[in-house]
Amino acid sequence: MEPTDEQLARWLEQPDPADLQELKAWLDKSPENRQKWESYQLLWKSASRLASKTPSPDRERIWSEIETKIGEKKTYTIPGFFRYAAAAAVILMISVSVWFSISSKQEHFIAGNGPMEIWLVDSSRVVLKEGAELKVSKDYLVEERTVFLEGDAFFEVKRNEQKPFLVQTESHFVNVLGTSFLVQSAKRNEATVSVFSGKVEFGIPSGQSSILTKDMSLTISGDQFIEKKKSANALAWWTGELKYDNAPLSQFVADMQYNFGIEVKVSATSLLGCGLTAKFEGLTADEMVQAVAMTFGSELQQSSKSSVVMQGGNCEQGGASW
Amino acid sequence: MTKRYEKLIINRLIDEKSLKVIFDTHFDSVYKRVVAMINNPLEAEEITQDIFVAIWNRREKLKEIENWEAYLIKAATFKSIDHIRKRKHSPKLSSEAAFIDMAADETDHVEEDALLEKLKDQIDLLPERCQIAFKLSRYEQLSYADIAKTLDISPKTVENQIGKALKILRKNLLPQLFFGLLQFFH
Repeated sequence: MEPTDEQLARWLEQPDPADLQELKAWLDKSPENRQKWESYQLLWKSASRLASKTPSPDRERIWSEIETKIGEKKTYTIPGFFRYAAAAAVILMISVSVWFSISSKQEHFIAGNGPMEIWLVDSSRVVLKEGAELKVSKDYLVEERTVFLEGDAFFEVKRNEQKPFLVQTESHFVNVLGTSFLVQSAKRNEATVSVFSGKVEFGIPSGQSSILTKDMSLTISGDQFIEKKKSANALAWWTGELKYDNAPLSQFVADMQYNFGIEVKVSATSLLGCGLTAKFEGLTADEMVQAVAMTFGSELQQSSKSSVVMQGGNCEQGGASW
Repeated sequence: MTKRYEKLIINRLIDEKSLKVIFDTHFDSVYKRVVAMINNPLEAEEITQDIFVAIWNRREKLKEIENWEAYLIKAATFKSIDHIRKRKHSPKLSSEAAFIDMAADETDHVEEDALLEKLKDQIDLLPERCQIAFKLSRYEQLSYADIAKTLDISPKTVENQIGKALKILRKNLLPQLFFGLLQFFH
């Protein structure tokens, strides 16, 4: 039988005794096989001879160019104080690739590991949720203040009436003078803006827009405008604070998923309707889940790295401050 | 030396001096990885610069890094992959670059084995995933297990991609291989 591509690749690299036996049997079968194998070996050896053929570059010149590039950078970033991010430091190694895409024309920030806090030159602040991307136009503050957002982010914009602040997402825009608000644009053709202070204009570039004020929240999905009450917990991924006033447990489950990427499975579905009254401050996400499980008398089982199961429990009114 | 400076940097803001130390210590391996993967010294220089500039821009976030060599090599790998991807979308640039490369090489070693020249070009034309795995194996002498770790894929996938690379190369280089094999035996 003809060996597979994988087999041939393995035979060349580190064949074990069983591989060698198979290889020998195959070679003995026909001269064509032998010829094929030799051509593979020749490719294999020749390719590794190509490696050493590059000249050494001029290190001093390269370093001085790096120095120049560094000198040009005006914006800088400060990491979140958020302690949950520290625990995830290990993941940084894995996600390095995500943010390594700098353009020389515009600043490009990617929150590859936990929330990322960015201070813009006019002291406006942007906090990216993990996975979100922000591009800051090279003309920022020269003409107006334009940024491009993919994903979710919280904005605190310094007031400047001459230079309006514009957030563009793939299909929406948010226009403001000075205010703080949260943009959620992780889904295609749908975005939500929640206003914490001030006034913003939120809409579709070629269509309608709407003015939102403090504590208002609007979702634009397709051409539907859906007004909602601002969710108190939509910014917990940054603040680490969650508040519940007799909210159903299902809300807590949704909040853990959105803010921390933790899936809480509740084995008894009747439990999902139970009321929860609690205030969490300064706890890790895991500790919050433990606290809630304790409140309802459930047992916790870690089913994977980012997923836990709440076993059993009952609807005793949960009210606590952690 | 390595361990001591790395300790120094931890828990402290990276300043320009410590960035220089990182640069001096790791430049060679970063550049080597990039140039092995993208096969164009000029572009490799630029990518290497970008990697160190990116450290600077993210210096606040990078305080926890303990193994700079591993971190940078990984960054170099992924930056190169990115570059290979983008190059696919601008074929004009890549054929130009290839042309310059070939011209330079020809003057360097006129009598160099025809197979090697052709092989180098053909490797750069491989589909992205095979190309990356194959280059890491042949140019960087990484084991399949190490390639799997670097790229966060399974060792089976590495075998599969390298097998595929070899199949394509052999098909496209049959005449040269045949000639090469003749020399092999005489």
